[in-house]
Amino acid sequence: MSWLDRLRRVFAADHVMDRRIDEEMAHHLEMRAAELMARGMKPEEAARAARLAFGNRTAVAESTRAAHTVEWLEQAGRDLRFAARSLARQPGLVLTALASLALGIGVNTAIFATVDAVALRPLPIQNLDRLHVIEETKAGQPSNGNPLRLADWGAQVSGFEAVTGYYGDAPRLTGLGDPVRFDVLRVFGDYFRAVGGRPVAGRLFTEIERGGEPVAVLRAAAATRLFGAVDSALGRLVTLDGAGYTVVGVMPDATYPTDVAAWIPAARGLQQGSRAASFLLTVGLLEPGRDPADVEGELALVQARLARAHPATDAERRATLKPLQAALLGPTRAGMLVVQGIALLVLAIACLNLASLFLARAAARHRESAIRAALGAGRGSLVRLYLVEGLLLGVVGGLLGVGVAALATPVLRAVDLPIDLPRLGSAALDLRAIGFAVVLSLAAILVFGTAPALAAARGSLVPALGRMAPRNRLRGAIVAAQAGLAVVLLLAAGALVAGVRRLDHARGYAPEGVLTVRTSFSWGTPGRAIRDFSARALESFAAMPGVRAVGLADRLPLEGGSQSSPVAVAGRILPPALDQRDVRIRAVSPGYFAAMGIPMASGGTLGGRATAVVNEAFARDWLGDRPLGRRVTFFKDQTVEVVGVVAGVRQSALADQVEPEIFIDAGETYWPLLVFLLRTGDEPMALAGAVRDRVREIDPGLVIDGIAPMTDALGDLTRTPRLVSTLVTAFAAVALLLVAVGLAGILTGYVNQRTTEIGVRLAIGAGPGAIVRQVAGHGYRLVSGGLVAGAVAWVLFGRLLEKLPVEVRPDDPILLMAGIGSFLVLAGLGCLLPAWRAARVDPLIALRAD
Amino acid sequence: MAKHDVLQGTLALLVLRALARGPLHGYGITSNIQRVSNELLRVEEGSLYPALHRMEEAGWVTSSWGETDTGRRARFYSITPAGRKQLEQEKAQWSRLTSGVQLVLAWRDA
Repeated sequence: MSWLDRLRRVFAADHVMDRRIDEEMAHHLEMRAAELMARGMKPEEAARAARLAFGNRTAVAESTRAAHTVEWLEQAGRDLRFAARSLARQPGLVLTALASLALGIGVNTAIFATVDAVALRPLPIQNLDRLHVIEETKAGQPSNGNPLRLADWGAQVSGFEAVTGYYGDAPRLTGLGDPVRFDVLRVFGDYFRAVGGRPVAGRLFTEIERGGEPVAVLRAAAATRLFGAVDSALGRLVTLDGAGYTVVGVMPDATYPTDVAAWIPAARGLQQGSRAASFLLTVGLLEPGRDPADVEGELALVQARLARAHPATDAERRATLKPLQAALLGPTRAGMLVVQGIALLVLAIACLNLASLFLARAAARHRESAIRAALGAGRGSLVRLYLVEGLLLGVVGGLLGVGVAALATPVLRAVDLPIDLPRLGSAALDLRAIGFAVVLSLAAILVFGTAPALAAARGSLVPALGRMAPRNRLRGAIVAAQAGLAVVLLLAAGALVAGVRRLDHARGYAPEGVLTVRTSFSWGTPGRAIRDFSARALESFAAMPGVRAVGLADRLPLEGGSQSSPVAVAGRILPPALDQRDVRIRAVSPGYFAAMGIPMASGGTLGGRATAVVNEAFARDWLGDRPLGRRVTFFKDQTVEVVGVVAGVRQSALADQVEPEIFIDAGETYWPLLVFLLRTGDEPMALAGAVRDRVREIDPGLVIDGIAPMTDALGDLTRTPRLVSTLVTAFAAVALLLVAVGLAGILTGYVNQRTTEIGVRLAIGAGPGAIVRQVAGHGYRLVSGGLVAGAVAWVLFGRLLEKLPVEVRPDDPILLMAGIGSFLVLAGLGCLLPAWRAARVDPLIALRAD
Repeated sequence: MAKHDVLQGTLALLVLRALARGPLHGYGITSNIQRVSNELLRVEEGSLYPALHRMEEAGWVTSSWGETDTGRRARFYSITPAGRKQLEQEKAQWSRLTSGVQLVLAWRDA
């Protein structure tokens, strides 16, 4: 009886069996009663006597049914014991299989638990499904939001129930112990109505307060830290940068975003200020039941109307919607999904290797199988044995994998990755993760358990015909599939390594030996105070021993822009695309270029009032042939004269081309976030202590936000792609090794089968070279199909990589050639040993063997 | 009435022997064994049906619905080739056992 029949009997047709047993017993009683009546008993007496003789009907029925179930369980137990014994004869193979499965499933499950916590599970925001980030572009370039425009959308787009905008700020909190930085969110519009949630104490902002009153809502943790309890915070005053804010309410700790201590309505001046400034993140809460696509259409119409009403600021501006979760977690998610995808590919390759090993084992057991078949064992029993073996290994491997994941998840959680992984702390081996492990185990069982079973089901068991051809074809297909997967991994690793190298090179400046010192004043600090501090700090730093050059900048390259504006050029009429386009205006000190190691292409550095240095990209497109001496106007009415042109500096990790930039003297614009750059000898951090002392001398109250070598500061910005690229490279190396081993294995089988043929060829004069060519040719034929399939799969996978914050070029011909080339070399290594063995076949021995 | 329940382990032998003559339903098996053994042996219903189902599971007998001579629907059991092989084995075993027992009983006291 087959397993399926048994299963059917046990599970599906239970009631049929019950009915049959009942009917049999009823019939028995009837016959007995009839016999007794024939001997002269009365009908009731006869029926009673028959029942008495039969005994307890329920008990009989029970034990009759048990005959089937027990039999089935016993059979299953026998199969399991037999499979276990048969596996135990090859402990090496079993250990290999279990170790690969445990590691493969464990690592994948731990990664999944992390990905799930960080990027897949919904953010804990009440209105999450209705919240959309409003993304803007100006002349095709991404742009931030403006309070006046935000208010227009709120009033004119019917699909929005509420709109809000915000920016982060870190004012100094004083009057409650030592001065500290206090992370707050300055909000515009009805912030709490948009994100939802109720205060745990007090109330939310009133409409009048939202207009810019000095009030604050604290996070529960901050309220408890500052005032002892949430309730005692109400009505108290917090002093931020010298201004007092009254606490009106306290929100629960889970309120978005979880890294701020308080929410404060933005100052009235900002709310009603210029339409030109773009500095907000804007979010809209859709009316319940509204289709985002509809609302987006409505938003586009409203924005087109605004563009006509305010051509100076709103022309060429587009607004689109993106679900908040995707907007916040998109880049992180892409990186993590790449790592997960790569880990899955490695698991797939490992499973295929196991399948290949088990196929080889099945082939080696060919003689045993033939004997079993001759003794009457059906092909089915062999198929069943292989399936049970696969099941056993898969289940044990999966359990071990969950164990590995249980160990690995806390490690992943605790690793202090310097990349921004929100919610990493909540990664846990929960039911979802275990479900993932179960699915992986089942998939693994399917791959390596069914391959030998399939081969056994199809293969001939007659020893005389035992050339094992079908099995080898299956192993060939497996090697081809592995080759395809390995090619994808190899190309991914190559593309990422190339992308990270591009980040490191051709930067246009020399970060080695430069110390960065970050500090910031609060928004609203008088410009004079910032200028005074900067000038004294630059002077003081320059006088330090070992410092060769000092400079100041608003931000580092790769950190994004600070301020931007369309630019007019005196004496030139610009095409509309340039006329409307925002150009980055960077605030630096004259020493910036020397400190950064940015060479001057022509002219000199900033000097005197109203001068500017531009980069080559700006000079080429805006200024034409003679850039020096031209006057450019931005921020509506600020006009400067171009006195120098510098070579391009890459500002973004993604784009290879350099964005146009104008550098003006930091003293001539307002920007309270400062990065000082000190070019020193080889060990910049040796100066850190002295730098702190000097800052304290100038302004004892100023908080230094960070001192780091510039290589680290930049390294942080490229950490995610670097991490992903390292992981992928390691995984790809493992995969290639697995494929080379798999290929060597199958070619050894090929050579063993053809020993006679090779002997004959050698005997009639073929050289060893011809034999090597034959074997290697066979190897390359096997992997070539996989190579092509892998290249096709790469097209899909490469697209996923493009979402990473690094520029990958999936179709880079050099990458493709290098990837496929190195794969061919590795395949060659896989062919080497079997081919060498084949060439050394002794014709005499080979011919005598048969 | 000296009716003996069948000896432990001989039930299968008796049932297979009864079925070797032709298909029977459960009641027929008990009454046949009882009749042929001159009422000396009596098959316990409580063990007959579990045994029949086990033997079916083992492939010694098969069963199918049929009609009795009275036109009543009943489950008929018949022996399979594997069952006949089993019957031969159990018979041989039984005769070895009984001859052994005979020899021991015929042991002359010294």
